[in-house]
Amino acid sequence: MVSEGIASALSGDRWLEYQSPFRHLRATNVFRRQTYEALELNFKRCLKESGGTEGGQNHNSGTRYDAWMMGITPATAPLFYPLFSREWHDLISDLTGVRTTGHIDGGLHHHRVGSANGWIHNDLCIGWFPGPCEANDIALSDHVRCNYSTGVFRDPHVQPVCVVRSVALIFYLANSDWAAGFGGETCLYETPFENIESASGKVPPINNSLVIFECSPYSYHSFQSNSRIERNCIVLWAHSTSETVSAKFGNTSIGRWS
Amino acid sequence: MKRVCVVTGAAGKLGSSICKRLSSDYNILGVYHRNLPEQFDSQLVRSFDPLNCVGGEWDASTYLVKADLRKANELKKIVEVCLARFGKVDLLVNAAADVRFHGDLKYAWKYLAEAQDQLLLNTVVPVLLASSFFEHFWKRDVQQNRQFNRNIINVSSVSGLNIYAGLGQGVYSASKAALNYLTCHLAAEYEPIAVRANAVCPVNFPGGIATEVVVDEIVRIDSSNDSGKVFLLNEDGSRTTN
Repeated sequence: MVSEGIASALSGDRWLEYQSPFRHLRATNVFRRQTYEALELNFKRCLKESGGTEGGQNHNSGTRYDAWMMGITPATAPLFYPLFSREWHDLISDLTGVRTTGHIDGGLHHHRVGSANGWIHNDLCIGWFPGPCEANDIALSDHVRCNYSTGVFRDPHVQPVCVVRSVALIFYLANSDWAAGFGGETCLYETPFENIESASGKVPPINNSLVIFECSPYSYHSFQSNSRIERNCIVLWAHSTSETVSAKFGNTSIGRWS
Repeated sequence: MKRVCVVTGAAGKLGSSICKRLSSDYNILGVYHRNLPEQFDSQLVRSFDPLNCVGGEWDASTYLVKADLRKANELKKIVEVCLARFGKVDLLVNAAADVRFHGDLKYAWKYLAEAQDQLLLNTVVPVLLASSFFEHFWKRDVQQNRQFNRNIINVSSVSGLNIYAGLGQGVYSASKAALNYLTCHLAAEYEPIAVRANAVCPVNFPGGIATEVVVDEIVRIDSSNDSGKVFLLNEDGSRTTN
């Protein structure tokens, strides 16, 4: 049963379920105007306050994903309601048919014009959290208390929990009007060996739209370089236990951070 | 029992409109090549209400197959999938088309390969696809063909009827003119097995006429007894040209 809060936030438009190149969901005009405008306003405010729009290089955690990124924390999560709520977590869990634990890792991503192509990957990898998730709540990753990639922690009260990314969501917002040829799409592939610009499916970064997919050994995707306009989005990963994922895909499929 | 319709060019403006219109009354096999059509529910894309989503399989009346119709083995695949899924075909709508204007014929040597491709897709493929359905299905039971009013509708163009000089559409125009003649030959040669064949030649759409008008005409031809006719379809309606 979807909560009243979620129901009143959604626009009521129908969503699309695709089976190719792997099962994924797409939706445009996702939220009602008021909800979308609040999300966009808060995104822009966070981007500005943390220097994401200043000159210089994109800040990123690795060398392959050319973006400025800001993690969602318990303090910032309410700014982006309903995306980081238990109701939303349960909705995407139901829609994808994935049994998830309530652990959520999320962030704001900003690609300057001319950001480099990403790489083809599937997102099926482990993530560390400072503790278990309470019933009917969510547990956000906290990179300060417990390193999401390595599980390293300093606080002796932390009892790290290792789970696996199992659902990915990208919500596009705060972008200029997009047109074909502008780039910035989320590209979807059948195999990891394809030319990065010859995707089987492309999801354009149109405001108030989203793509959701189960992270599997076959959910190959990448960011495509944005040649004309900035590209902004909120990303979110829900997680499952490693037992759940291993039972479905085999434990050798789960990646670790390198 | 629902009629079964095969629509080529299902991702195009006309093809997708045909699929959308006919999906309530027909089982449809839509053939697309490059872009996945998402305007109607199929086994590859479906719309749903996120607030009232019942999981599991769904039974779309439109089934999509990706195929390059210029390749013989892919033509065969269409026939096999259609017969395996629906067990018959009652209506074949050849709506796939290469609508490029290659330019002045004096420079045809520069676009020989593209011209050959266009002639193959626009002119030869409709005949080959019909021939494949004849070979694997229609030749088996003339009585059934008559009972289900089976027929072929080739989507041609007004460019196959008139000469529009100076637009560089020589090859395109010839491909559609040849399709019109082949349609009449198809009608004559399929008459003994009670399968009808007609062509419709719309003016440009959705500019000159609405795409829905072309769909209406296809529905009308399908339900009629016409055969061997080439219909001009313009702002004044439809009329026979032969």
